[in-house]
Amino acid sequence: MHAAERADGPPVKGDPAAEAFDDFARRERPALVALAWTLTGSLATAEEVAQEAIAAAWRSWDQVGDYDKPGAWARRVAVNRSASARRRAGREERALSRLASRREPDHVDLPEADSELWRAVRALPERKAQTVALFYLEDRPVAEIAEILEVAESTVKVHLHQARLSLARTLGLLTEEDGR
Amino acid sequence: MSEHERQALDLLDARGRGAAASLKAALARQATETPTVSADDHSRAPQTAHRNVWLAAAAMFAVGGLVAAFVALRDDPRADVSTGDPDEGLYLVPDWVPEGWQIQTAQNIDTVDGPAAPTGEVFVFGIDAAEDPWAASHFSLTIAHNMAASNTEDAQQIALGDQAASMESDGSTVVVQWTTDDGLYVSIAGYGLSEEVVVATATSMAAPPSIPTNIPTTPDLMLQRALAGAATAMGQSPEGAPAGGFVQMAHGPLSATTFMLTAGFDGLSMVYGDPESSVYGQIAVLQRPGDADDAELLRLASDDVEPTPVRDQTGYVQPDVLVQWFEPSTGMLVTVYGNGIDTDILLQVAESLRPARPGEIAEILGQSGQFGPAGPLEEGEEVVAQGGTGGELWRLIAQDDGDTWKLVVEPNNGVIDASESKDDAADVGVNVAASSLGDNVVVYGMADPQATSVFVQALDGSEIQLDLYDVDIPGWPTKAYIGLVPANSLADYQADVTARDASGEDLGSASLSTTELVVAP
Repeated sequence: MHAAERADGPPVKGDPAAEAFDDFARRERPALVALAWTLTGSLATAEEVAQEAIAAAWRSWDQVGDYDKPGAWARRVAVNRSASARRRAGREERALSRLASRREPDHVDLPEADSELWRAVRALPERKAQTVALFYLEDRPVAEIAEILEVAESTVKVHLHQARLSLARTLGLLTEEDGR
Repeated sequence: MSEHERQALDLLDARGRGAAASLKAALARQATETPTVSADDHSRAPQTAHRNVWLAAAAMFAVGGLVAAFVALRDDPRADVSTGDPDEGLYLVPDWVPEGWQIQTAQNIDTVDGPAAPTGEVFVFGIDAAEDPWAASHFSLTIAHNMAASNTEDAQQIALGDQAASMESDGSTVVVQWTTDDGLYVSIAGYGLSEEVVVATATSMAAPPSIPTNIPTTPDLMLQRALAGAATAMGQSPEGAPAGGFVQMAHGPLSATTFMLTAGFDGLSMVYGDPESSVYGQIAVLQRPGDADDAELLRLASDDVEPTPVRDQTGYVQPDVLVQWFEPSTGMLVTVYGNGIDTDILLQVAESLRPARPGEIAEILGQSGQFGPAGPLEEGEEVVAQGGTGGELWRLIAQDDGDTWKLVVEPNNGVIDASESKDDAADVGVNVAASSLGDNVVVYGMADPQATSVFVQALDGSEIQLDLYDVDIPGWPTKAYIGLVPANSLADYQADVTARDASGEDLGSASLSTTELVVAP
């Protein structure tokens, strides 16, 4: 799915397209932040990723706005940019550690059990983490996860099956031998 | 799936959804605690930061719109759709296998454990106007991660501009392969094309700028490079399309090609065999996500692959080796593999496949590895070595197989062997085969009779010694070797084996991609 780019400017008040986009941005941004945080573990990065996804949607709003599910399009952007950010973070980790004392707080206050679960999700291979994040975070059906990730439904089913077994083992709900 | 596993996953799902709700609430709480930027701040932003101004505004809208967003999500019909059981209807199981056969090994193919399996994509370009483009000149382009170029004795080292590469030819197929500085594996295999054309195509691909590593989305630009290279080599203008008369015939994941069929994807492997028999006779049923176009990539494997109807689909058969087709009922690419098994039997297994009953896959997985004691040897066979690991017994068996000397390993036999024709076996320095056994890779093969040591190169550069044996079968011309190597000790799924004599001189080396070992039966 490719969207044609529109002028890289802000929406103009009174413009119906801009108002529709505003509604879209208000509605989708929290979910995009949550999804990106689940995949990156960094709130700052998640905010950035969500904003990038929304900005990308605006640049192509002439086309994205006509989609049945513009939110799915934005999630795909967020998933891809989260993956890029995660890889970039790996490369930049050493450099950033020197700046740690100057960085803003970058955590989400969660019960430890929840943090443990999300850490386990992030430890999964990339595609599995994305699948399981959409599954739990947004309660998306398999067909929509497949649409967002641009993979076959069967791929999503397999990723979900194996990711859940892996998570269950990591979290001590199953032994290493279960499900093998 | 067992009741125990189902309960565990139910608990996990409840915990996951609870954690999701908790996360959303925490993010909403923290968002409202975050100082917002005023509209005045926006107006003072420099014009050059036009987009950034908009991004900041979007962030502020979101703070005000949190409640609306949650209501909108709840009202979104997508959020109300039941996810159901993601395992439901996923796999097929055979309703028929040859009499007396039973499940031997079965496993979820999960690439989480161990080193990363190769992933990538394959493109095939051919002459669209040909009656059968696959029978006419064509070439394939493979781009993959976690894959190493093979380094056989027959490989010729060449330069593609500044890029070092290797080239091999068997008379009908020319393969040029290399690894980029970014660790990307690239190969061009030309079928019915001259070395000049294949090398020119490869040179075109290897030219700067380098190939992006973000596969599986190889840009069209890269494909055009390959086409342009081929066209130039054939004396035609690279301008215009289709360049050189070649058009894209097929495109799919690496896992759809024969020798990668057990790695780099997620799915299920089930291997059936005869517990009363010796090493012959096993059928593997492999299922992994794919699409209808992937099945045809099997034609890269062999010239004798032909289309044939399978379960009302267009399938592909390599006679007496395998059958592959896309199964729309499950969305899976299915391969029934039985090296040396009659095609009719493979097709009969394929046609008998039915949806697994609830709990049946778990039951089959539970039966894996409970294969009975090794069967009696047949005439012309000898047990060279045997042992056990992780509760599983293994045997290295030598066979006088008519025109061929062959080494196989039980229980991982029937699909992979180390063999040489009787005419060529005396000249072998070393050959290599491998298969998986638990967490180990069984590396085995034939070695020059002068060999006093055989080793495989480990990931850390060390040499892992393998055990050498004499073979007592009359006329057997080589020694045999075998060793169990931890799977995670091999570099990039590559097993490089060297045989040396008593003076320390190398008698030969061989390598193989161990990609198929992830679940090799």
